Amino acid sequence: MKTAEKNMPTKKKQKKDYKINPSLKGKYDDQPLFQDKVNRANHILKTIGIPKF
Amino acid sequence: MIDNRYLFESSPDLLTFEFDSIGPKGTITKVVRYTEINVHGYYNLGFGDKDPQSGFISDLTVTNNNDSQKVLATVARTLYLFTEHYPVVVLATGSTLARTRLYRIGIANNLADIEKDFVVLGLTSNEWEPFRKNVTYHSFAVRRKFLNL
Repeated sequence: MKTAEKNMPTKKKQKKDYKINPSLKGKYDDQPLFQDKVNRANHILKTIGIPKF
Repeated sequence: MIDNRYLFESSPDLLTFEFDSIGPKGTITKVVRYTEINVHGYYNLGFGDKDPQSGFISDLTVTNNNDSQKVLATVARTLYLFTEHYPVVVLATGSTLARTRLYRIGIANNLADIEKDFVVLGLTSNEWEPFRKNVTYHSFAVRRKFLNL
């Protein structure tokens, strides 16, 4: 049994490249981030239409 | 590009991300934010620099930290993470023509890898079309493959 376990392929664990930081939630609520781009995206969807995938 | 990126932090809801760009201009905090727009299921991808003095975020700052590929790869990684949890369409537009071109080049150079997981469209002057290399686009729309909206 032990030999069989040893021979089983081990699942390679992917290294986590980020961490959760609770302080980021709501951190920028005092400034509307990238509002120009949001407005532009809204304008595109309104004038060109939604992208058809 | 996909493997060479910065470590980053995420808000618990995976809508806001921060990482530090490190280069000859010093350490610059970058902020990535996914914002739902007026159409349900459609989000805007925005990212920019945090001013160390004021704390304000601007997507017009020119950093020149000699790491634009690494920064783009990190932003792309946040897109993977975000769309793993939100089955939505993401729109991305550069804040300037030069930056939109940089996005286009970044997508084109990694298209084979990107298309394993995403469908990418580009916006010409009047319509969305499947992304093609060497075509000028005004904006990009991406969604995960195998996603029913």
